[in-house]
Amino acid sequence: MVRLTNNKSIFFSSLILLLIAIAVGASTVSLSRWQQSRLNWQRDFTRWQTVATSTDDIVKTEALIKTKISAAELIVSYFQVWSDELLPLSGERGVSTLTKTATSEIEWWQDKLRQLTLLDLTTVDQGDELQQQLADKWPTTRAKAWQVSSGVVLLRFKIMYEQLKGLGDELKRVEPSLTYPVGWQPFSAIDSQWRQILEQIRLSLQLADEQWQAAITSNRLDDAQRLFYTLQQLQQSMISAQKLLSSLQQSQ
Amino acid sequence: MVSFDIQPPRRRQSTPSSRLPLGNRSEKKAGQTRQQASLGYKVIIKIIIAALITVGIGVIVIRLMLGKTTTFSNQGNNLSISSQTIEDDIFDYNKWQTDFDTWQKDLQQNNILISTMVEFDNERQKLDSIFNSINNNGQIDKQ
Repeated sequence: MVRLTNNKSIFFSSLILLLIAIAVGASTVSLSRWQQSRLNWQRDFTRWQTVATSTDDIVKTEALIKTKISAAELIVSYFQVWSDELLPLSGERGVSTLTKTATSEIEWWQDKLRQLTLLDLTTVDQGDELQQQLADKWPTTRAKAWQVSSGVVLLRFKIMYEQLKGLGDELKRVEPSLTYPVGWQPFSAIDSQWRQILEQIRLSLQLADEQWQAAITSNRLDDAQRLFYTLQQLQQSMISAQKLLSSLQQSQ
Repeated sequence: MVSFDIQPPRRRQSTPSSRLPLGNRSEKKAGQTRQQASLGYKVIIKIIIAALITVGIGVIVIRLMLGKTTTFSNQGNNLSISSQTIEDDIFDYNKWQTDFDTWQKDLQQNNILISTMVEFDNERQKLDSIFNSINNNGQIDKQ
């Protein structure tokens, strides 16, 4: 009876041990698989994050490139305006230098514009190098834009001053032989104001010329701003001269 | 007492042609014809000169009376002068007007150009920021 009891006890003990061993084994395998799965997930997530970041970079770079493309287009069109304005002035002093400057800037920016349009955004280095070139060039372009535009306006003013003087001189020359209708002002009525305005324009032109020379030598923005202010003053004086000449008939 | 023997001047006795030899007679006739022809030319030249002077004075009078008539008209804000001069070689009003109109257009064009400079100056700061940045990594940041 006792022996039977011992055999049973051994059997159950072994069974329990076996069950425990199976449970431990199963848990270990499960734990290992879970661990592996967790690692896989982590790896996938990291990969995804990398792709996401990279895509984000590309999107951001693309947006930056687009802004640079429109900026380059703006610069090209700006120089094109001044280049066109230089065409009728050919033969005047300094025009060939200004034309060369404008043409050189247009060509440089057109070339970079083409490169920006064809840029492969996945090759970050290439994009960065190109953008570095644009950043390095921009301050020079900014100075050249000032030189060319203010140079053209100044040249136009010089020519317009001579023409204006000629128009007044012609009226003065023929005045003794003209018969004015009633209410019409003779030129002599505005002669004093006329001479005053012409002198004002002449002095402003002289000042603008000096300021232009200073601005192209220093390439400083404040010099350019000072010149711009003088050019605006010149435009106002020209408008006053125009009004004065037109006023000859306004007393009718 | 002194006495003067006053005698009337002796008139040259012309030899009657009937008494001249035949050769001398024809020579005198030819001389008279030449004199008459010369007189005719002189008269014609005088008439031509008188006609030229008359025409010249007439032209000057007409030019003085009509040639300087100048009319002015007001077209908007533009100065407009037109002339009724018959032959106006002193002052070309139309040319003057055209030159002034062209000049005024140039002035307007200058306004546009100066505005372009102002616009570009306004864009300048934006362009500064565009060209001084490459990407978020801050590889170029010159500001």
